[in-house]
Amino acid sequence: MSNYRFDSILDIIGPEMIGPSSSHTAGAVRIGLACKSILNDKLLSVRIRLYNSFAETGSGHGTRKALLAGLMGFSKADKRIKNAEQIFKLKKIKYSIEKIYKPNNYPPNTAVINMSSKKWDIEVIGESIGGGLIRIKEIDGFAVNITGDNETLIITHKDRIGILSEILNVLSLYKLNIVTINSVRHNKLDDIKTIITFDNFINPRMRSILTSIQDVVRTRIIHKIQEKWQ
Amino acid sequence: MNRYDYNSASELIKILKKHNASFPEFILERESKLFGADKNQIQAKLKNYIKTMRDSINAGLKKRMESVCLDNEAKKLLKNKLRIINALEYEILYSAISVSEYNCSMGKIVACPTAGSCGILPAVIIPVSKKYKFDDGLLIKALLIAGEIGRIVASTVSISGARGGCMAECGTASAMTAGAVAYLFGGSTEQIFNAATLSLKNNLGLTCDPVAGLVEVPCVKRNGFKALEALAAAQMSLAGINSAIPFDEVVQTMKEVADNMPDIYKETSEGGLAIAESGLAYKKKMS
Repeated sequence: MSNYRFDSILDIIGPEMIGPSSSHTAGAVRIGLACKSILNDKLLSVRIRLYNSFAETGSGHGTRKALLAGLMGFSKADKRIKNAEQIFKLKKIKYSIEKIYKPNNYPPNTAVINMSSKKWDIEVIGESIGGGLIRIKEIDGFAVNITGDNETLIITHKDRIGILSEILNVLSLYKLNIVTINSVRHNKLDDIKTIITFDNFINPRMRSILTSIQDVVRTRIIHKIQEKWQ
Repeated sequence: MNRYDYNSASELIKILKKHNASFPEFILERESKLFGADKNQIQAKLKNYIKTMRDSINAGLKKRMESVCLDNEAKKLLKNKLRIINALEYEILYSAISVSEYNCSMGKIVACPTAGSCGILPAVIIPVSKKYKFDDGLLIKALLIAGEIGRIVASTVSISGARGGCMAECGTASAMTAGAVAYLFGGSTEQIFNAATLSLKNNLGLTCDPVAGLVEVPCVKRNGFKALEALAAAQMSLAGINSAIPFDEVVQTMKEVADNMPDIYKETSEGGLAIAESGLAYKKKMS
């Protein structure tokens, strides 16, 4: 049942957080933070759908406030989480939060989040796995596995021979150390998404550098959520 | 083979023997390698957690909590004059409830392993260290040990109520705390894991059925009970009482129980106390 590897005792002791629930509050803040990082643009409106235990027990655990707090960039120990809904309204960001009770195959604590900015509409599926740890499972229908513990690049590109080696060349030029790399595509007509995770910080400049490679359509940087030992 | 690549108590005990290493020192070394951080950075972080733990005990005793189901329970204990249990146990009991209530009112706590079970570990190690004059250096080591016990459970089963019921949260917390106390009083690695086993075994099948879906009923008072349970487990272990079933087997059993536990007892509030007549009445009152 436990598909997750807990490597560190700091996954168990800690985090320091605003209560009342590590999976419903702290985990939800981190899902929000990951979403903010994925959008990387001024959020104009957001639709949040809560599933399973997030729907059942989310309101009493401040899951709504926590997700909104994360979307605004608050950390899980930030005292403003309590007032996140009011602050969200003050910022005039449109939002709706629905609880979905119909049967589904999502894990226990799942949120489906649709964010819109001037440029983008993005759908993210995030899961809180306990102890404040999370996993982003899907971005716009593409399976990913983002825990927020690494820096992640999502590069959307055309299917062309040699393009991956051009991308990797640029990455090694900038001394980025790759942890995992995975390319996915739904069908032959679709663009490919190559998802690469790193140990070290990715300079935001990398976005334009990578996008300038021929046949790269788009580059997204998803920053690490936080240093565990800081 | 990487010496840190293990996921059971028996392997860990073997590795410690082979390298003639101390339990907390070995974990500290692994953590520092894992994060590429200095040992003192990890220690500083844990020291900070100890401070937050202390603060959360005190803050919970001061703060007035607004709740439909709870009525500032820690304060009642603090004011009460009748002491059936001894002074240390009494302090442990109200401290656990205090941290837990503070957590419910969106106060700042240290999850250990989760927020729902955050009252247990601090409520035991802080009063115990005060009474027996253990310094923060020793408490940091106790946290390393508690964390490692929880990590092994999390890697094999889960520490999430939504996956394993309350056994995964308060059960794990109680085991972690029992191990930490056994360490503080000079227990061997075997005695530490034995104390954790006694606690964990006492939690098999424990449901997560929170009333109205809140971390309040039965969570807050359960934190109090579990803190005392951990103390009892450490006491038994240090008296030479051995668990008939060893730690790794109990963890495997916990996994079997979690896998077979119906979803209504996994934090969904669709069964147990959550659907008792009064449980449903509280829910109605809140909505």
